[in-house]
Amino acid sequence: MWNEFESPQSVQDALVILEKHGGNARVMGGGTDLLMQLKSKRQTVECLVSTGKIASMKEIRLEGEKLVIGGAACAMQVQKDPLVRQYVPMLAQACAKLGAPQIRNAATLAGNVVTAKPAADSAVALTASDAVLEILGPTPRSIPLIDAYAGLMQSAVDSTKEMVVAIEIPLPTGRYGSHFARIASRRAAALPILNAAAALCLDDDGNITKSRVVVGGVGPSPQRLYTLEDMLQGQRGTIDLIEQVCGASPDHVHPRDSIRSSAAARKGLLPGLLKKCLLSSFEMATKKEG
Amino acid sequence: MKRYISKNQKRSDALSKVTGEATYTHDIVVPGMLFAKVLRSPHAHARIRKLDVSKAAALPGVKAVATWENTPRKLFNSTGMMAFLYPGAKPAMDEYIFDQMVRHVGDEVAAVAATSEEIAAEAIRLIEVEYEPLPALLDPLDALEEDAILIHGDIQDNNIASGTHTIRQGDFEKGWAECDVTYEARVKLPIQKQAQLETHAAVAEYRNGELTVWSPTQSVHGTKYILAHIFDMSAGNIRVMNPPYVGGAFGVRVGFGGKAEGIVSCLSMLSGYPVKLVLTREEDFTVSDTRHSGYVDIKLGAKADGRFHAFGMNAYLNTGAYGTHGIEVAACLGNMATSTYRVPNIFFEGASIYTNIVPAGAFRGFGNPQAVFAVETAVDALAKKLDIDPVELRLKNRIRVNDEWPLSYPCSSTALDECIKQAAAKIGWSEKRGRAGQGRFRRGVGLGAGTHFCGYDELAHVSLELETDGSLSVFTGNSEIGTGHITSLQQITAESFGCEIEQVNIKYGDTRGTPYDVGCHSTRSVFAIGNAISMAAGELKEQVLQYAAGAMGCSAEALSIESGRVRGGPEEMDLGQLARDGHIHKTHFSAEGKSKEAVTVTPWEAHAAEVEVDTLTGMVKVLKVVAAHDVGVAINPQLVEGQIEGGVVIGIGYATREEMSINEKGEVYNSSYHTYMLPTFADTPEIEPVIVESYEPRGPYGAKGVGECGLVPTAAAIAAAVEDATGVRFLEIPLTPQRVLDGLQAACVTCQAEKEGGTIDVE
Repeated sequence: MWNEFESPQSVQDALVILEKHGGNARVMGGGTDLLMQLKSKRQTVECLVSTGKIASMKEIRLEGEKLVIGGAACAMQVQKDPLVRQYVPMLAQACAKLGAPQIRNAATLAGNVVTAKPAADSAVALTASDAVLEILGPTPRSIPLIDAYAGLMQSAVDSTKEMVVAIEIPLPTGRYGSHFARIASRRAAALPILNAAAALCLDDDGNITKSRVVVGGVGPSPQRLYTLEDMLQGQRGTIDLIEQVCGASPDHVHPRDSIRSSAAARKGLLPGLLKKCLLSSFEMATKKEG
Repeated sequence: MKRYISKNQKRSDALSKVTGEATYTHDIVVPGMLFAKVLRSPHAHARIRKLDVSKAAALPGVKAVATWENTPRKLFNSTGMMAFLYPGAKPAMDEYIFDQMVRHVGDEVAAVAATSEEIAAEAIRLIEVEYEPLPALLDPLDALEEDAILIHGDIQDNNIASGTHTIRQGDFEKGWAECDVTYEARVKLPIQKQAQLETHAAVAEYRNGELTVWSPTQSVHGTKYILAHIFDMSAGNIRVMNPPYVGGAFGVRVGFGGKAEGIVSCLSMLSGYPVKLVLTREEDFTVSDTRHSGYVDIKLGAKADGRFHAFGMNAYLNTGAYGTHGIEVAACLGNMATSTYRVPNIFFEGASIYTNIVPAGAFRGFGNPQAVFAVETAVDALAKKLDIDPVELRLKNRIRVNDEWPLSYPCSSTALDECIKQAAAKIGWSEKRGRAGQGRFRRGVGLGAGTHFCGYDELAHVSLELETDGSLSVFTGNSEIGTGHITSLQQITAESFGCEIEQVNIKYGDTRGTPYDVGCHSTRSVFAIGNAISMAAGELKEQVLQYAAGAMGCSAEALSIESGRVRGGPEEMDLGQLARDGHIHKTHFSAEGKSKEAVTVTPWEAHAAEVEVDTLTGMVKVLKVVAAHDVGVAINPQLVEGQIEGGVVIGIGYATREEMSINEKGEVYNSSYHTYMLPTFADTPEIEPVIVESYEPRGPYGAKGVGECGLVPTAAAIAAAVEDATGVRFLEIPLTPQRVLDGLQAACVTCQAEKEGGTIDVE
């Protein structure tokens, strides 16, 4: 499955190892998906480069107007982190529903995005957070979450050459609220039938200055529902408006039938799911001091 | 006063299991051992035109390649029950280890033994196969069509595995016409998987003309018999053993498990080395027996006063590619469907039907959950039509001791009435039933009742020996599959013989040195082995007391064994001293225990469930299950509760989530723990086990079995609770969100909720 296993202690060392193997090495976060893929030969690799010993990549900190989550922070760490809970509550909620506790103790936030599962819980919340992947490699670059998927089960990040060293989230401004929710066949270790995250910013007059509505399980990657966001943006936030937006939501998604659920059922469930996310966000935002 | 009966004796295997010291088949390492991998069919139905293994055989490290061309061509039945069916029934003898035909996706094509698992896997990829794909049947009703392709056309001219089971009592047609109210329906049942923790595995070593097999089988003697049959060996030259623990079984290991035992035996014989095979989880799901899916048609009619008068049932079970336990499951389904309630006029016909999917066989409950789901659906429907409370209707019609029924054994004890009453009371039946209201979240309660058979007493056989240190060894061919019953058997032994429980060692799971036993299944082990032990211990005690009386010159009547010593004579004698003294005086203290007659007894159970249905998502949340069980006398109440709780969890999964999905190509979609929806701890509600003790005169210290019963009426109770909550009776399980939503939408329950709207967040 692999011949070498490296646990470098710095990002620089990791990049050197990747370069040395010329495309035959691969970055490993928690390995919860990758090891299964390697075992079933869906992936082959010469060398695994673990991020687990790179201390700087495990930090979660504030940097100016940004919340910076290290690329090796595991889901459990993100779920429990006070800064995440304060500034991006939907991300903590999403991480709390990822896999099961044992998985969350190993799986990294960055890995959950790079694995490129269509409805990855954290990717849905990160998309709604306007998160950006900070990538180091031959060409250092930044990719907004919305562009992190290159296709079905394909990441824009090439883990044989580069690595996500951090995920940066701009701190929300004004009165902000966010919420993540999901529907799945069981309470742990199940891919969702649908998941969604919403974020709202209000000004002091209660007008919506910014909105994000993101849904997973209706396409190859988390989908931002721009039309619904536009319906909210600039409007005075009311429960009526939210209900109107949720009611319109089925027309703006194009799910497929799958063994977990039919397309029709997903459309049917969407208004209720979005309502949960938007109402909770709204409630949180209106409670906050400007 | 009993010292060891009705006591929560600590499990004898607890420490080794908790510390991880316990060994299983996966742990077995034999010096020089090779590793096996299996090539499996990608087609649901095909003939192998060409099979070229030359490249695989030439790969360095490969020591043997087994195919249909170099392995025995002797038909067998992999369940180990092939010698022991009920009178008149014949087992389906329809399997080879490898065949030129493949009959389901995953069917064995070839196997390789090599010096490493990786080399074996590589060799498998080098085998070239040319298949001639054939039309595949997936649904049992399609397989019954006149022009359906025959799946075992070489041995029979229809797709029914080993015949049809029929039950008749009274005159159904006449009775049906006489009913004042009737109900008929077809229920559809899913494929449920045992999903036992340890995947199928086996190690075989063929040396000096003897075959030794380590296996997680729940019937070592049965497996020995199948191997002797296939390889034309003398049974005495085969040894099958558990190592000694088994990582869960639930019926899937009665005999072979995924043919692993047969495959490693072939490869060891071909290579001359010991060979180990461990199936992956995906293989385990794809190739080993499941619970029978299919259709059950039910007709139930009653008189105006609520007395059941006519019962008709047709069961069309999907047994997949091989018959394994098919006919027995169909028969058990019929027997269980017709023995919970008094009905004078009964008709039942059931069959297991071949299709080209993963085989179905034994799974805890053995046809009974399917039967009870259909029967209880009808009972609730009649209750509604008659306007009688479902609890009352069940109490009115339940079977009583020695009632006439169609089974070959009598109903010798029943506390079903008490089970029903306690289950209903503890779920809050009178306060909660019929009070769902109209909101989005609706709660309801429901109840289901049933029985099971606990038997094969005649197939139990033990031997006891007093060791030279005064301890007592019990030799049984039974297995410990995780149930804890070996501890209950220790309790029965110590109680019967009069020694300390620490002096009892039960040796099991090995055909060498143990007399024949059919295995650990059929809710039988505590009952059947317990009876055999009681008998043998009584006889051994008699031997010891006679000898002691002679040695001390007193009357045997005055003597007794207490706390491991012979008391009541002029002096106290130590059992070890007696055993050693006996040996030098040509007296060996040993005894055999076996049943004098075939005895089957009936445990009983009633489950009550409370659910909450989200009418907007279709999500069914089980809030509580009360499981009341008549187990006779509970030898070890804590172990009985454990069995009940474990059963209920499987029952909840059957009702709400678990379903193997087969696509149109016959492939299993969800062949992993991740995609197959076993309930997790987070999905498991409060379970309240209630032991309703009765006294079974034919069981050891009044005991009956409990093993399979814990899941028998759970799905029926949950479906009834969902009906109470929503007004919709679902005739198909599991009650997945999609299925429930579709049903509620059809009945326009969801329309209302949708109008009202609401938020959704379901974990």
